[in-house]
Amino acid sequence: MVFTSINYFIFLAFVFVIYHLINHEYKSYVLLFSSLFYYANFNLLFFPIFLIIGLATYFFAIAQSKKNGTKKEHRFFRIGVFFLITPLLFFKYTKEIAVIFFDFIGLSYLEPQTSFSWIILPVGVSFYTFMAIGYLIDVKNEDIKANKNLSTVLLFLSFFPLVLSGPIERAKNIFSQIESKNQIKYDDITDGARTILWGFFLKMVIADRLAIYIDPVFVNYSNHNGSTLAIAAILYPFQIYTDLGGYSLIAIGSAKLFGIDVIQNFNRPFFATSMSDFWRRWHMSLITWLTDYIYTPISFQLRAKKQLGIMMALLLTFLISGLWHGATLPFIFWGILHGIYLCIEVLTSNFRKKMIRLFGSNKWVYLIIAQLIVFILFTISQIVARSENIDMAQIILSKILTMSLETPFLDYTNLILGILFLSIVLIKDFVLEYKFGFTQLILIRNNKLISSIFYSLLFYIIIMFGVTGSERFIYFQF
Amino acid sequence: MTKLELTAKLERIFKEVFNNPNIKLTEELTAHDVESWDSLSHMLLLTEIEDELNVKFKLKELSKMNNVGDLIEIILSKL
Repeated sequence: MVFTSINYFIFLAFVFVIYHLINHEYKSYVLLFSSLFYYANFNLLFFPIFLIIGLATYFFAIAQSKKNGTKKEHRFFRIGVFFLITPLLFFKYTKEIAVIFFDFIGLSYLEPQTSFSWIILPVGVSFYTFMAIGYLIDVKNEDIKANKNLSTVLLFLSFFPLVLSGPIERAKNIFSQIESKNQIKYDDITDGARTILWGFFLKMVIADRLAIYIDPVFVNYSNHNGSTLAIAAILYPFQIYTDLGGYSLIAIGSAKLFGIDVIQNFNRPFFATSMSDFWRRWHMSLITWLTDYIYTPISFQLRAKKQLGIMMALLLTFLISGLWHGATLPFIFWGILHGIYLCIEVLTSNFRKKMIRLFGSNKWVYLIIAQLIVFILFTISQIVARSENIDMAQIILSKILTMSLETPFLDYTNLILGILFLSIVLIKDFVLEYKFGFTQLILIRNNKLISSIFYSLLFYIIIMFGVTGSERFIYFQF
Repeated sequence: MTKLELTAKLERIFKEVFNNPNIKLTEELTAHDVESWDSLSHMLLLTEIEDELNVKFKLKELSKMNNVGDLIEIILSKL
């Protein structure tokens, strides 16, 4: 039941009604059983393994905390993490490792794709594995007590709005909400519905519309000229933003319908004025996970090496981020590239502070230049990540860099529609970023009439301009 | 060392690490309140404190440092 399907609507409405009618004691069980049903329905084959992962998480956390402060605690922790990460590693990396291995021993392994094609990455495994491991680490750091309630732990991992593509949540935030005695507020329901609607707008009206242009251009990259590739490349970050961003909002809104607050994934990323700023605004749930569980411990261990230690930690963290997305060279390069971007920022931080002071009252000029630079750097990295291999990335980049005034291939209808609706989102982000007309937006939210008109209009736009039939979410592949 | 002495010493370290002579330490001060205090500079700050005050932090303590007040308590427990 992909979010953009009628089935999901029916499922969500059904669960919603039962949840709100049932006695408070049983509410979390409703969510648990619906979530397990949701997952089994999506991937019956992997469901037993998912259950085992859930049970293992529960037991390892308890075993860890029982042996708190002893060597056995560390042992349980290590075994636990190893146990949890093995399915992820297996499903994600076996194919690539096999290819590399056979290359290495000099045999070109024929058709590794088909031989290992039975290993299909179960949707969601990258996400809930991280959530489970995060929980074990939190228990080890005594940030949270191991939860004795099996249904709470299982619900945390399987919660259907989050299970397939995040946002990646933390035990501390979700456990307390699952077990809270608080009554759900009417505002939560309207908030949730609005967020879902906005998410659909982003995904179906913008992301899927842009995809109609962008995807074929990338597939057929060798036949397209530099200017066409440039247009597709420039639009691609916006496609991801509205695809993953839209998906995340549907997830966040769905959770809100049940009174559960989930972490945001995006915070107006295109207004970032540095790559470090960008990474505090883009796919935030993944980045904060990597920061808290990888970057911080490593940079702490290496703190004696001062700036060098920080740079090593950054490179490793982003290498892991790249690998999380996939074990192919493009993703590894993507990760290292971002690591390098951030290292350069560490080294030039004083220089950049001076630059800001230089611009003084012309701060706007600095902002625009900085945002453009960040956008270009990010787009370059995305061209690499989106390529099947490094050769493809190289060809695309060189075509773009050597482009002349050639006529690009344009798909007017889809481009105009996509960019038109995209501008609405970017204008909204702009207004919120710089707080212009802040009061106006408050007006929309609080005035019932304006709000109803706005959201009805949005609904109409989704029906009229939404691309249907696309069950593809970019982040399902991770 | 008293809390006051420690706070004074820390203030000096903060001013040095963040290159900002105007920093005034209060117990409620957090990373949000100080420009350029982010996860990168946080480690540099901690290393400076460790070197100057001859203490060693543990990883577990990091997540418990939510503001300067917490930081002071943790350091005092080591002195």
